[in-house]
Amino acid sequence: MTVRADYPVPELSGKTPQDQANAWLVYLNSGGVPEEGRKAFSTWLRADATHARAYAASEQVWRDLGYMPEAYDDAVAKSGGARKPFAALSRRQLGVAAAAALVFAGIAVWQFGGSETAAAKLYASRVGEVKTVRLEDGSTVTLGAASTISVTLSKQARSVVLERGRAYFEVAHDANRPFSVNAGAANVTVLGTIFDIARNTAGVRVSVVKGVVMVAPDKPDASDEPVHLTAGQRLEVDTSGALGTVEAFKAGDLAWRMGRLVFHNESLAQVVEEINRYRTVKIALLDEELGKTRITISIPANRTDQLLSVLEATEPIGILRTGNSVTVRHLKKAN
Amino acid sequence: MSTDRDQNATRKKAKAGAASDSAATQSDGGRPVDLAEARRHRFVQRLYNDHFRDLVRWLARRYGAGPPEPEDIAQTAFTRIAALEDVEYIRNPRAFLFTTAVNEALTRLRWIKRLRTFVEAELHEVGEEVEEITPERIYSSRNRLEAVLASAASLTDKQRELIRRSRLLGQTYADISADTGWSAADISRQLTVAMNTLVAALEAYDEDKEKNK
Repeated sequence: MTVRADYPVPELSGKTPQDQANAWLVYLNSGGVPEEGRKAFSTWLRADATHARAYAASEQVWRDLGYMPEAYDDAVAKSGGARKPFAALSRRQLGVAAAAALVFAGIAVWQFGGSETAAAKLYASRVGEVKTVRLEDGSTVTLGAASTISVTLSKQARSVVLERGRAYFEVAHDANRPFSVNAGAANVTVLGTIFDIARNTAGVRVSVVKGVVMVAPDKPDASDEPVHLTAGQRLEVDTSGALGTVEAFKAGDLAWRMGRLVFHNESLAQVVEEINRYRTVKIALLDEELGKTRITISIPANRTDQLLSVLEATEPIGILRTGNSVTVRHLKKAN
Repeated sequence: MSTDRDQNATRKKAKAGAASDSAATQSDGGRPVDLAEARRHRFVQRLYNDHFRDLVRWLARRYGAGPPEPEDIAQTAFTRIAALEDVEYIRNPRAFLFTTAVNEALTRLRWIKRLRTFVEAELHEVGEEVEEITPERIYSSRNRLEAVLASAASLTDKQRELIRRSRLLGQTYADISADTGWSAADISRQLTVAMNTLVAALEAYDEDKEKNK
C-alpha cells in the first residue's frame, strides 16, 4: 500500500503521555500506515520511559475490547432504540455470568462425582493437519484435515459421531461392545475392523479396508435394508440417507493418511471440497457446471496447487489468485 | 502496576489448586480417572454441541463466507480451546469461544497480523508485554475487564460502532469510511476520544482499588 495522506502522524503537542499513546494506537490501527509512520512510532516509544508503559496500557485495553464480542453484536442490533446497550449488557451478562459460572462449576463436579457411565470426548484436527488418536478401548483413529469426532465409550457400546471431515478407524475387536459411527445420514456398525469414513456436503462415503461393516441410513423408519460391506468395497450415502451402490476401490485411494490425496473419477466439486481441508488459501469454483467435471488425480496433501496446474492443462479455465483466495471459472464457450 | 502482581498471585494460587485437585483424584482409592481431564473433555464437548453452529453462522454474518471460511475459523478456535489446560477458569464459555474465533479471524487479515507482530516486537524491546486473552487472564483480570466494558457504556453510539468495526471486524479506516461515509480524520478523532475515555476509566479503577486496600 502506498503512503496515504489521510492518516497524518498524530499531533502530540500538549498531550499527556497516555493520550499520546492512545493517538498512536489509533494511528497504527488505521490500516494505511507507511514505513515512515512506523519509524516515527518507534522513535516516540523510545523517547521517554513513560511512553513505553503508556503504550502498553493502551494496547492492552484495545486487545481486551475483543472479549465478549456479542456485546458489540447486541449493541449494533439495538442501536436504533436502546439507549445504553453496553450498560444493560454489562449488568446482564457480566453479573449473571459470575453466578452462572459458579453453578456451572458445581454441575461439572457433581456430574463427574456421580457414577455416570461415560462422557463423550471430542477430538479435532486443524486445517492441513492429519493426526492419529488412540481411544481408551485400544482402537486408533486417524483424523483427516479439519475433522472432528466425538467419542463415547461405555460398558455396552462404543459410539462415535463423525461431526465433520474424514476419519480412518482401526477398531479393536470387542464382541461385547459393538463399535458404531454416525456420520450425518449414515450409521456404520462393526465389531472390529478397519475402515474409512469421509463426510462432506454431498454425503458420506464408507470404505472398508479389512473385516465387515454394516451401513444403514440414519432414519427412524429406514426402509432400506442395511448393507454389508467387505474389504475393498465402498458405499456412498447421500445427505437424505439414500444408499448408493456398492463399488470396489483401491487401497491407494486411502493414501491421505500418508499425505497423498487420491481421487478416481470424482466430481471436481468434491475434490475441491476435500482439498480445501488442507489449504488455508481456499479454492472456489465459480460455476456449477465446472464442479461436475469428473477428474482422476493423485497429489501431495501439502502441494494441492498441483490440482490447478492439472486443470489448467486439461480444461478451458481461468484462474484468479488473490492473497487469500483462488477462484476458478470456465472460460466462455461457444454456447 | 501492583494490580498485575495481585493477578499473578491469584493465578499461581489457582494453578496450585488445580494441581492438588487432580492429584487427589488419582490417589482416591486407586480410581484410574483423572477428574480434571474428564472435566476438560466434558467442557469441550458441551461447548461444541451448544455453540459450534451458532459460531459458524455468526462468523459468516460478520466476516462473510470467506475466505477464510467461517467453518475453518471456528474449527481452529475449537482446537485451540481443546488444547488449553485451564478450561475450568472459563466463566463464560460461549464468550470465550467467540473471542478466540474473532482473534483467529483477525490474524488471518494480513495487515492486522503484521501490525500485531510489529507492536509486540516494539513493546518487547522497551521491556513491556501485552497479554492475549486466555482463560487465566479472564479469571484473574475479570474486574478490570468489566471496568473496560462498563466504561464503554459511556461512549457514544458512533464511538462504539467504530470500535466494533475496527477492533472486531478488522476494518481499515478506509473500509469504514466506504461503508459509513464518515471521513478518515473523523474516524481517527472519535476513536482517539474513545480510547482516552476507556483508558482513563481503567486508571481510575486501578487507583480506586489501590486506595481501598
